[in-house]
Amino acid sequence: MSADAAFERFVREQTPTLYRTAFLLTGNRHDAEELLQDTLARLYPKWERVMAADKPIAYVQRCVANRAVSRSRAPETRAESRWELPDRWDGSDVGETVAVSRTVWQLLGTLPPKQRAALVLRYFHDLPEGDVAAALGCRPASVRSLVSRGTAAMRTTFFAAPAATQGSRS
Amino acid sequence: MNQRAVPDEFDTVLHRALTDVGGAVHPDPGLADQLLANARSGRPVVASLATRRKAARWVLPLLAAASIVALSIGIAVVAGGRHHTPPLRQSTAPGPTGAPTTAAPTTGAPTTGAPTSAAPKPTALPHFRAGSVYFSDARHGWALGDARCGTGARTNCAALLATSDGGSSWRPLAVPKGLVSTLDPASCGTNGTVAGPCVDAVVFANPSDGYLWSLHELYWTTDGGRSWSRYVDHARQWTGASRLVVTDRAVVRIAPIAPCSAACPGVVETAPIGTTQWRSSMPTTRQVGLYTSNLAVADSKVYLFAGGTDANTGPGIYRSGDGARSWTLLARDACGASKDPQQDPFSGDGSTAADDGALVVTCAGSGSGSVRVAPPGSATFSPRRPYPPTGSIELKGARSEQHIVLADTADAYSGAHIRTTFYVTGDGGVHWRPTATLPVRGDGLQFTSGADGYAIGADRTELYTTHDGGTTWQATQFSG
Repeated sequence: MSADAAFERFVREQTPTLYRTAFLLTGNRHDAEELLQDTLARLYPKWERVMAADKPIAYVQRCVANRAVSRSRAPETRAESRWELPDRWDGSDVGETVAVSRTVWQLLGTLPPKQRAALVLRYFHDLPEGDVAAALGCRPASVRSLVSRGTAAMRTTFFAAPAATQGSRS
Repeated sequence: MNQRAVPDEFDTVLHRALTDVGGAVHPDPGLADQLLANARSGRPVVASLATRRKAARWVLPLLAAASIVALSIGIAVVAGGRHHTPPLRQSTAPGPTGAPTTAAPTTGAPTTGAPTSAAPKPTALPHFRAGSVYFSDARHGWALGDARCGTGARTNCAALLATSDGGSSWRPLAVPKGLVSTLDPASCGTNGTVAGPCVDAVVFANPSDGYLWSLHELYWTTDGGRSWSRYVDHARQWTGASRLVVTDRAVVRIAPIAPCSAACPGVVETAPIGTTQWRSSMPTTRQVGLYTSNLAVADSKVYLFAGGTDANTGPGIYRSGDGARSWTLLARDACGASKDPQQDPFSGDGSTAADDGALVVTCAGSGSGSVRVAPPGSATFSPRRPYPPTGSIELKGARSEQHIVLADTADAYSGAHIRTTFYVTGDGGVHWRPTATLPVRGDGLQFTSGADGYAIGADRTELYTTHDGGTTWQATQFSG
């Protein structure tokens, strides 16, 4: 299979997964699509190297996360973004559980990009600290620091907020 | 939840929240195709998209408690069903920067338009009702309206359709997220964003570059409506336009200076097409009326029919051949001089330019008013020629100073029997002849030239089209 054919197959199969990652990292559809386009356009010329990775999807997800952090440093992309809720919400959740998830989601958007990326990779993708460190280009100790600071900031606000903010309907 | 989610459990809460959100996110159907095409083309994707002005901002972390309560209650109600949940609005007011803090209207086609090249077989939007149409030529058109927010939804959200075959078939395009129904009278018009951000007009300069706008809001796309950016101006409360036209290279608007409902001044501004880099383009130091003025495009030139305000009578008629960067005064006091702004007979918003550049001016007076015409390149106007002595006449289009189309819209906006009667003249208004009475609305009625006209049917589900100046019309369904 040629690199181009492999690239097409990968994109068609993995776009939903990658899109979820990008959405969690950027917080909105528009930026998520841009982030994916940016990342894949950069990887396409060297797709043979991507195919050589143990898990290409994990490799690309790490690139997406890394790119999300890098883009947030670029002046032209430093403009504020909207933290959207997803268009579609699975029907499995009800009531306060959904409200809690949404509150946490909003709080995630207040974190610096690198902390946010660390939390997404750690808590959504369940990556070990070493992999998160590799994705973000930092030491595992730094990942622990990022995760610790991020969760601490969210936890403080989450539990300090009125009950309604946490989803209680009482 | 307070009791269960003690701090030690926050990791679990976080994991669950990310899983919930991530599981609820789905890409547009055409995204994979778009990603492939862009990657293979080597297109500088980031550069091209990043040039757009970012319209929104991160929403503040802690929403107002009441908003969250409403959110959770609403979610609880709808999440019990098997259909997707339309995210509720967290606030009825714009966010801190004026950016809407709402999520996408819902899951339906209105928010998931795919790129044209990757679009599946065109499908109609359920319950689509048009509020505004725009055709850039005989084939390419757009219809802005509303449709059900999603499968099973009872509320309507803004929706946008496009056609490339003159209206025979329509395909849905994406709209900016968070827009309320285009037909919501509480939020379009001069009331402001009461229920939420609203747009009620659509313009495309070409299949890629388009604008959605109202007095209060303005969005633009450079990719054919696949994605939209919101124009934000922190210095102004209303950021839209009362009039907006496009040429090949420029977009020109009359913009509100401040919230105002009558006799207000506006500012004429221009920007390169595909952008919202507005720069002032006032042709005169006198005030230009926000609601009493009109912009028209003929032969790639922009015409400004500047009406007056409380401060002064209409400044006059101007023409620009460079996308409104500079103006030439063509005529002043086209309907006669008046020192009292309240008595100014010149109706700028009722005047237009004919296809050949002739000036067609509406003058107030007895009855329905009158018309004066001037041939191309001239500011020498004919005598006043009365409109048909009936109803409420609006000037709709002109091919030349001889061939003009009027519409009697007395029954075209409300009532049980919506209808519009069209009149034409072939002698510059000396004689008028009724050509058709149709069940079409006055809003959304548009002549892109003296020959080509488009009207929305009474129930907003049909498009009426004429290519002979209103003599004959064809009706097609937006549902295809």
